[in-house]
Amino acid sequence: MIDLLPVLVPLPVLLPLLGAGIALILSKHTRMQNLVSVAILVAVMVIATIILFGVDMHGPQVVAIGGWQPPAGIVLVADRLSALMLIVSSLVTLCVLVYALSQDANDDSNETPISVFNPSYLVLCAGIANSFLAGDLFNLYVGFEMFLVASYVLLTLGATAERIRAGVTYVIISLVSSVIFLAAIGIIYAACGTVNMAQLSQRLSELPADVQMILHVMLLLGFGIKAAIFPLSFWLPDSYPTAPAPVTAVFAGLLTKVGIYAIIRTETLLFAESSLRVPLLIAAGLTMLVGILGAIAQSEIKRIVSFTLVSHIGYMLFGVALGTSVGLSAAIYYTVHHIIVQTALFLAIGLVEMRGGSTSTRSLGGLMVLSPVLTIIFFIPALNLSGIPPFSGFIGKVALFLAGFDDQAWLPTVLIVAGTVTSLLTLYVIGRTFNLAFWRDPADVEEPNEDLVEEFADRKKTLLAGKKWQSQIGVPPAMVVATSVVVIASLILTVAAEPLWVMANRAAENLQTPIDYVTNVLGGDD
Amino acid sequence: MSMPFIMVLAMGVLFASGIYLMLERSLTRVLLGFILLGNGVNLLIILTAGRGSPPLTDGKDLSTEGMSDPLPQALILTAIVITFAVTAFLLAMIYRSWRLMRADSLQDDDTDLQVAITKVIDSEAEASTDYDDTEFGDEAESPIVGAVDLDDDGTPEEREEIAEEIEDAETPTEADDIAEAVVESQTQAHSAAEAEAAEAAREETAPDDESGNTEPDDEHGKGDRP
Repeated sequence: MIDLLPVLVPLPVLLPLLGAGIALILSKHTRMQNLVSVAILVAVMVIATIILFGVDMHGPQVVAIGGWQPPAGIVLVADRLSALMLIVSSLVTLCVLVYALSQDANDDSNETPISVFNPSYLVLCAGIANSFLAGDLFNLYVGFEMFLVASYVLLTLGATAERIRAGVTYVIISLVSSVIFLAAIGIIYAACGTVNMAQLSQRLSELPADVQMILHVMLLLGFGIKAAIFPLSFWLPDSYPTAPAPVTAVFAGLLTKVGIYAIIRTETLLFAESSLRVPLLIAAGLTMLVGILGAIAQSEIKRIVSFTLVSHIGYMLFGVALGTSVGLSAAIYYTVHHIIVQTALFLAIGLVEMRGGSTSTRSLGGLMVLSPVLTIIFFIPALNLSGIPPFSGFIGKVALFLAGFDDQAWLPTVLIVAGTVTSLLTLYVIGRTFNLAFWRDPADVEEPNEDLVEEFADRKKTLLAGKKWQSQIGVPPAMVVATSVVVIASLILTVAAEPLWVMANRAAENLQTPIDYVTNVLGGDD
Repeated sequence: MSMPFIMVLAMGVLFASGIYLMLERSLTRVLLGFILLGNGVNLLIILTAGRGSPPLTDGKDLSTEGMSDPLPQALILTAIVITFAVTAFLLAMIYRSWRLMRADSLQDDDTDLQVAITKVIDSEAEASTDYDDTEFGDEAESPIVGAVDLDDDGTPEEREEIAEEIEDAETPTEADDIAEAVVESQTQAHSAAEAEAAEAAREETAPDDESGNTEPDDEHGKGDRP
């Protein structure tokens, strides 16, 4: 079993890449292509599960790619944090793929050409897995570029005018972040003579404090743009909402979290001693508040949720910035929770768009009566996001706030207040959205949608007469099932909060002792 | 001047001109800026290798004495390929943008503008007209030419004229009437698209409109008086 583990570690990167190639070859055979893509992601999920349990029992696994031993060669490192992120990301990507494929099967328009979608989606999965497993900075950069380039394609799928407009902003901003990251790698190599993270962990602390500070800030800037931390977050609500629903779901769920993961990694491993605690805490607080205030002003549900996404990145950054073991565990737990909830929410919004013909609260109404199942699917993650007990959002926030109180300083206390306010404002935004889109009569809205109004009146009549009623607009069952699976996964985070919390704790302990990571990668003799 | 110094200087020029070009609204310039910036970073990485002989041995003498560091050269190859691919993609996207919108510049987000216009109309009751404008309006000291004017109260000259007219009025009611008429004509003079957006936003606040109708105009008249 333990001999098998090092073989498994590169597979989450290799399999999707292989699958992308096969999917391209099979681009004429849609059914085969879909089968291959789903099979590959199921396999990745199984492998990620085995890796998580293996790593938890036998410690971090280090694989030297191509047989070149570290620090000269490229290494993949799977520790508890990367394994945990891998398994969550594989679950989310699988559900979104099923959702996207069944949407596409029911969609005659050319907005999502499936022959391009599958290969790019698999490359995206490979890139994300590569970022989680990367053991050296340059490989992390390559992982970033892999999923970014795939995301450019996915975001501009179909190349409609609106998507091109949003895509241009997204691509240019991402390029700037990549250039900053790459320049930071260049300077780090000049200063330390290595890009291996384990070796950097030892050598960076020997640099003069000001050089360390510059490198630290450059890396944080690069990752901060990707993670959408205020004031580097303005691109996100502009570009995400125009993409197809499943694409937005996986971007919102995973791409920003890869940025957060990279920040956790660099903060704990590379810059354990040079701390930017105060600026990070302030940025975290501002991210929370500015994000949620932006959400209040919007009337498009997709845009509202994109703004809450920015806002809730602040919570994770709060946990990371605290730098304590509890803070890191809370940040890890919150990241897992947020990946799943945000994806569920965007998938549910995709269903709303299908059912109601729009995502604007100015034309939606009456969905509560028309589609109770959809209402539940939307309502659970929405409440979860705003942190209503007993959902995982509440548990995550309590953990974060406790970590903040542990610190007994004034700045974390201010952040706890900001966090509480943000949480309440999220509840307000979610409540307003729910009232407008689900609760009220569709005839009362600003821009009434005739189909909805007619259907609503029809439905009311049959309700009063006590007759059976079948909607004319069907939502594909596979899409509902895929969304439900993600929603159920978010509920499992509550039921299984204890094991997950224990795992997050152990991952945080690993992070707190970077020396273990170093000896694991470089061997004991160093 | 030593070679590395010239290289550093070149790198600085590449970075500076790259960033300058990226700040433009024209997409072709942004693309050129990105290419320069990418090459600046590549130069930075190659500089870390240092100068020396090629990292090759004849198979017998395996000493690395005098060789340049081969790792940055490996890194830079990867970086060049990535930059190349992204440049090609960006070029295709700019061409597509040209085909679709006949514009080689970054387009405004309509939804964003609509939210902005809604807020302007919502807050007209409280807003006084002698606030400091941003560069996106036309009242700032150095407004951006060609930017969308978010508040639609005419050009600065027009406003001055109206202010004079109101000042010349005999009674306060007459002044208010002038102000009201001006607001009305301005709303009508709107371009079709903007009027539509404003109308949509107005509808949202429809219940308050009847009662609060005179108030904003009143305020407008007072604010315009110097």
